[in-house]
Amino acid sequence: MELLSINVSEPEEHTFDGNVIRTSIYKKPVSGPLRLDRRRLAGDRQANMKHHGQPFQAVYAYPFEHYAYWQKVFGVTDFPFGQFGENFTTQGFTERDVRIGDIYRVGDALLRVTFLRIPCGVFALKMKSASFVNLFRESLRTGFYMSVLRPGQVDIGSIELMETNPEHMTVADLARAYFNPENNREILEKSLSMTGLADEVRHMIVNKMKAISS
Amino acid sequence: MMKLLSVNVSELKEININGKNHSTGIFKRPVTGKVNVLHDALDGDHSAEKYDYGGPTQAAYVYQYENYDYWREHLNADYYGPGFFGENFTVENMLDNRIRIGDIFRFGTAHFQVTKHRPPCKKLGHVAGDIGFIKKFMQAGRFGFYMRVLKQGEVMAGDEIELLQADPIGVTVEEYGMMLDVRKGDRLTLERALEIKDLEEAHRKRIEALLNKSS
Repeated sequence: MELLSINVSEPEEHTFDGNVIRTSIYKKPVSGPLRLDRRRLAGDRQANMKHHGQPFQAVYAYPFEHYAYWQKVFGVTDFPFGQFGENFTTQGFTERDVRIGDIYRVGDALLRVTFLRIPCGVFALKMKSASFVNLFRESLRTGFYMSVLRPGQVDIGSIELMETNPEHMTVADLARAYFNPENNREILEKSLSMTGLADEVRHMIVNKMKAISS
Repeated sequence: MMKLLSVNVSELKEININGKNHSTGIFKRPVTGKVNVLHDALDGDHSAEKYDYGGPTQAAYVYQYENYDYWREHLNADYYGPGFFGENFTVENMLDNRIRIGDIFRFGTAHFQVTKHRPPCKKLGHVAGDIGFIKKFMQAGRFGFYMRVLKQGEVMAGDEIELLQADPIGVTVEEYGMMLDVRKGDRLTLERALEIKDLEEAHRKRIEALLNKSS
């Protein structure tokens, strides 16, 4: 498993249809090594702290394997690293392999897989496609967030799996249930028994279940 | 043998502390029969400040029956029975110096994970009828502990409690509470505590801040 590119950005203003929006989704590759602290990578800062700035979202990883898929969908050949707003462009594992709670070592930092990425409206604006939010959800190619268990220096190169639990759900399985909760109540219920589930994520899943039962 | 002696819940009640009204769910009283454990609380239980009390890491508060004997001479209350300390579960053989942060237990058919100690609040001072009790409670290191729910289920007074998984780092509730709220600069314990994987995020931040200060 490899880390191909590290991408960061500070909030910037972008204009979409005449509306100015502050966003950090335009991430650019940087050369390492780079300091990763408990909250974020050096040089990276979220514009919308409410939806993107939680500790369980310290790093967003996206598999390079999906670049070909989306380039085909969009009829292009040149998506640059960071196209999906990801901090880490990875290779060698996808949402179908990665389990919630998995612990990875990158450089001397330890990261833990916390949750799938829920696509937002700004992402759709960047992709210039109103239907992108739905396409992204349905594809289950959501990438995944990680929290930082141990801060450190990170750089491109190998990513090592340090700990996994075969009973834990993959990111793709959780995404399927989370995006279609009405038909997956039991799976959501079961997801809450995973140890190492971030409390913020636990809270989101509990709320999701409450919303469908009321 | 670890045992659940009593399951306690409360409605919200208004109290007055130093001229200010507060809503509180601290007046917990025993209930009989099976009680449903939901993901963020016991069925029928209420916490006033959802952010501080309640939510995933404080779904249930446990206090030990053995401590009732310890505190008896310090307290003069009309009601001094299960739920007095605001606990959902009154238990025996689960003292703070035996239970580790991150341990996973089965109570009845529900599964829980120990998240943190309980630091006393002014509402505990109110029920004790003595604001000075808060300090005594803190320094005695008999905190009791909060738990998150890993699996919903049913609990009932009299249920046996089973340890399903011991946390490998092994920081006890007593060590943890003393480290965070009493002896604030205990470097060795702070460093060990940071290794606990399922630590509450806000606590991880506090521990890091204490470590930075002591270095």
